[in-house]
Amino acid sequence: MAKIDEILNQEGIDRIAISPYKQYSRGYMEPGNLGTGYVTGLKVDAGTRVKTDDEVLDGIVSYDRAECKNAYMGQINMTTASSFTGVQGHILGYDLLRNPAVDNAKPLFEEDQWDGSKLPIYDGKPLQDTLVEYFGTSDNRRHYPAPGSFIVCANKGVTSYRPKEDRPLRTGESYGVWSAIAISIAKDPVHNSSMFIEDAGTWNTPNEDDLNEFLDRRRRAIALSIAQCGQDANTSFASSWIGFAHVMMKPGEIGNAITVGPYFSIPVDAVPGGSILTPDVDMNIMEQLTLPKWLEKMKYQSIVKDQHIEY
Amino acid sequence: MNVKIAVLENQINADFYQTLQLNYGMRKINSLLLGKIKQKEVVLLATKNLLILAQKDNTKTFPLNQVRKLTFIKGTPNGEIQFKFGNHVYKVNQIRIGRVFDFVQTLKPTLPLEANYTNTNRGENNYLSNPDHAVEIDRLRTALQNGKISRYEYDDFNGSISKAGK
Repeated sequence: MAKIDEILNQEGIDRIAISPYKQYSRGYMEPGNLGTGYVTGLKVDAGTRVKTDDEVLDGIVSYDRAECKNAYMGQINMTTASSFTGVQGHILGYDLLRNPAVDNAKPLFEEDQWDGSKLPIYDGKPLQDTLVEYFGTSDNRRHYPAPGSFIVCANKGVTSYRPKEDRPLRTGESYGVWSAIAISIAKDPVHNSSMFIEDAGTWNTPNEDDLNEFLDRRRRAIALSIAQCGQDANTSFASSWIGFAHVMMKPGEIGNAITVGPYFSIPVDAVPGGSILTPDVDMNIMEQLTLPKWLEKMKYQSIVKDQHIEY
Repeated sequence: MNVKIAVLENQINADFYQTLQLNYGMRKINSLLLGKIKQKEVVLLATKNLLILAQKDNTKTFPLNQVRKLTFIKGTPNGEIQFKFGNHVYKVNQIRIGRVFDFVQTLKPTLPLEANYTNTNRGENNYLSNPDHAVEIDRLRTALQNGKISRYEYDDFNGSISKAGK
């Protein structure tokens, strides 16, 4: 058992999050899960669809496309959480199935925190990659959420249309959509919560280069808001991981950018050597395993290495 | 070869096409239009800082910050655009290749001044029903839909959304 779990257990807190289903992950708080904890992951994706004449359907279909892109989260009932992953939570790729890229990452820049410490900002890709490897993709599904399950998620998104005709943009229309997610890891995870920040928006010129420049500035704005949120709660963070996705629409397409941090429980058959009778040991195994070791034990090929995964 | 310019192959005189590829093939072209000025074929090119007006035997380059008024008149097919440089007004019509509004938006973005409200989008109820916040929310929505502020900032500044989360 990890040292932190020993301390938390004395407070009556457990971080166990085991789903009784085979293969499928389930949402946090769905009945029948073992343990009172949850696992969270990072997903940020953008997708497009050709627009029809039905705005409601367009919204649904484009949202669905973004949900199913990369880390597969299709066919779920998504409910919204206000974005903290606390003492009872694990972060996939960081606390569980740690991605070695997390340890090798170099900070992009640093932000000042209220207590005088520096907050290093990293690219969120290693954590996004871990969720892709764990949930799988649409055509290579692994331990994705059970179809129809209720998944609590930190989430935000935008939908926008680019007109097919050559005419000025009307209100609500644009050339591109983008989304971002950040997870900030609490320095003191026994007493404080780590925090998600999700963001999304539209882009109003056809220049993708300008959008990329804007997103770089946006990363700094997000870093600043993380530091400010930390001050509000008198907490500071050890590191922040920020991931972006964007897509430019072709004429006649509707675009959707979503940012999602799902809270879920892991099925016991996703734990190598796991047993439904010993959920605490199962969590321990997942804490000990690195992502490459887990892939090896599960006899999975690395999707991120083999396929072209672009967020 | 510049792929943006390549769409003009077989659309304009071969010499004119070669000249364009030679002169601008290595530049990053953001947008392009093919139309006519006084029945004479003209290609408008937009780079990051320049508007280039190219004809078979004559090319003019306008620094973007000195181009006054760049106006979309109508879209393709048979599109029309107008711009002013110094005291001279250039009017390009019969535009048949390119997207006129995209060209304008590339060089001098103009943004809608009104916010869009639709109950058909997820989570987009008409917040204007609350008169205490109507004007401010309308401004916020306009800024959000113009890409000036993000969803996070919109939610943060919006008085009618609870501040339980991010």
